[in-house]
Amino acid sequence: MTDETKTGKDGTGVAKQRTETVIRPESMILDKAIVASFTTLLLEPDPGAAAGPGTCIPLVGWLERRDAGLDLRGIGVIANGADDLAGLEAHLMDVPVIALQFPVFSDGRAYSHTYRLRKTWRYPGPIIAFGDVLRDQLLYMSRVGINGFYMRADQKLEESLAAFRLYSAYYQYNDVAR
Amino acid sequence: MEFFGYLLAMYRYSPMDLQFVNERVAEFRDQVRRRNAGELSEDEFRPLRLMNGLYMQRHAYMLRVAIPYGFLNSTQMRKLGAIAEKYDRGFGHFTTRQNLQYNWLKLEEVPDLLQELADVEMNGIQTSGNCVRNITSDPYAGVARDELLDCRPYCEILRQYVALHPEFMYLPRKFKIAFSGATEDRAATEFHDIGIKAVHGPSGELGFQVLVGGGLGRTPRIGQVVREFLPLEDLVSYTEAILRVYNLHGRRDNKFKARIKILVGALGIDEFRRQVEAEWAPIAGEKLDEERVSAVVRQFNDVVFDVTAATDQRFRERALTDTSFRRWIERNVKPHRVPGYNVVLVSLKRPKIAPGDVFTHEFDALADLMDRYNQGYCTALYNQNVCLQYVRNADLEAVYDALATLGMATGNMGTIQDLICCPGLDFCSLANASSIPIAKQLIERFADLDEAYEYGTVDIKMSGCINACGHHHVGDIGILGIDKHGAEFYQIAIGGSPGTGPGDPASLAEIIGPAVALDAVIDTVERIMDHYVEVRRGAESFRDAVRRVGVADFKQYLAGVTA
Ligand code: SF4
Repeated sequence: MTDETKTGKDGTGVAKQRTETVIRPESMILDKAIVASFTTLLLEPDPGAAAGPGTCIPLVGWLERRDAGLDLRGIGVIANGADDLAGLEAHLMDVPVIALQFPVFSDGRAYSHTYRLRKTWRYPGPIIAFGDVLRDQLLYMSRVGINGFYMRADQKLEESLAAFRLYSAYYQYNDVAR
Repeated sequence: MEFFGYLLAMYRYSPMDLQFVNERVAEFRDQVRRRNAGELSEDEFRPLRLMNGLYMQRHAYMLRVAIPYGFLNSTQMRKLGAIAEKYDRGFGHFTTRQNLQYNWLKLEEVPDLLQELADVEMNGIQTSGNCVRNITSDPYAGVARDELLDCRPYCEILRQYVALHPEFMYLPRKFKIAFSGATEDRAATEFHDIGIKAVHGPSGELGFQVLVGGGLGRTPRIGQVVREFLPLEDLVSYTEAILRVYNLHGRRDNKFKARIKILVGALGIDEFRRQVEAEWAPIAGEKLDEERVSAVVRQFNDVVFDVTAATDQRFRERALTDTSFRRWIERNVKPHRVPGYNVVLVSLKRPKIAPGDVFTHEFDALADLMDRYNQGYCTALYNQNVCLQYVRNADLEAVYDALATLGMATGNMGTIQDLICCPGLDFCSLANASSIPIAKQLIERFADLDEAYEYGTVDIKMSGCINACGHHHVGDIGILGIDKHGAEFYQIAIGGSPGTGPGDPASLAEIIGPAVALDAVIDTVERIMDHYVEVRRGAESFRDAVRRVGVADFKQYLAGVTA
């Protein structure tokens, strides 16, 4: 009996792309608590002078700046599912924060990116999920190692915290404990 | 080899399992509440309910209940009947993948139903959705004579590993894993996203051969070997590497091209293997330790055998005089690895009843039989029958008599009557055509057992649409419902096989002519059988005859008779 399952809302897998190019909600969830958000996501491929401490810019641009020897202090990386994060491995200690995009909640690639970042490459900094970030996926995101959440605008942050209390134990023995 | 005296029976929940399933029910109950309160859109709710086995069908909600490795105990059997009565319309349906489905549910009642299932150690977790589905194995695991390894403890380790695995709940598409631990592959491992077979390694030690990229559906593919020999202890980490490669690189732009078989096809098996090995390298040190394996083994109940069972041979006397009983012994009773014990197939292929359907009172009656004669267990088979797998010689007659009163003792197992079909147009919202009514017609048309025996072993498989839940690609005769200008038509193919071993390689059925209308299906099947009887040599089976003369020969014959 196959299947009502869908990959994306319009069947293409890339439903409802956000049109905003600057994302910074007032509040976010960080380490299972509600706090003021601390970084601005600049989604334009080349954000120019807007890039500075307290912002994140797309991976490709970040690596270009790196190669050009530009100052990247305080600037984080934005990546999406299709990005190859291997190019970032050598520079991870210089990345203050990584923001992973969920274009639609059913696109699970960012989970595997997070696994590699945390477990294979031992990235210690904050990883933020943004985009179609909903209460019912928070627990999976958190268990794989995402610890910051810019939730979709209609989500209630306080109620969403309940997601972290759903289960008292898990089967997987390689959880990244964060 | 294992020892007589005790074999693994059924996995029992650990305290952790029980708590986990209860918490899963609570989570879903809250999701249903939020859905009904309008806080979750249908698009957001759909994957959540699917991962709990809940579909929206043509008329109502359908729940798919997992039967791990096919094993049921009598308490569960009675509960399944009680649920059918309380929440459905008095019946349940055994599927083609060792699950049970209820077809007439109300959303708001499903959390209570799930709680009742949890109370008897059952659930619908990951029986649908784009995640790793319930893992299947040889239905005769633990009792088969040709078994190298009872894979179920390993299935269970893997099941636990993928249960709500945070990384793999939103894969590009569904993901099915099957295990076979015997020389005859009864689990169709060649047609799964991952197929795992127990094999002996270079120095005689047991391990697994790993296949990847098999599957049915609209793009049927036979699995390819990604690893010839994997030590038992590497099962979990290697599977994880495959899943990670698939999760990152499987297509997400087109759901019809999202299964792993498409990725494997696009990369080629060698490149796919290279990526898996690269992904595996950093985690290859994560071995399954023996303590973990034995902890799972301890959760399986033991079955105890009576070493004198073989001395009782009285059933043979009745077989001399009672034809129906003799036929039942010949067709429906299979050899057991313990002398004096038998595997009894319970036929759910009955006139006027959809294959696999069981009614409330029958669940109870079967549960009683399980308690009295089968140490409290039974197994659901992928061909929509169940079996009692620990029946002593001394009990064969009593079991036969009891099954006969339920209409479940017809000696039709493996015959043309023993067909399987998906729910089709009667329930499924994706169907193009009916399959249950055709199945009923076929069972009725070939009701004469003398005629059925004349045809020997014939495997008819039917699907109501291209998604192939009835596995039509791998039937001796595969029947596929299609929509032709709004009318139900059927494409008929022959020569398929799930691949049971070296003498019977996997093959896909080939179409034998233009699609036929609903009322011509039975005739066409009859003609196919006519031609088989004409061409066969001696006791040659249908499958072997088709392989020898070729599908084209049948095609030609059919074109001739219809011209
Ligand atoms: S094969 Fe098609 S019609 Fe049959 S159950 Fe599957 S999806 Fe439904």
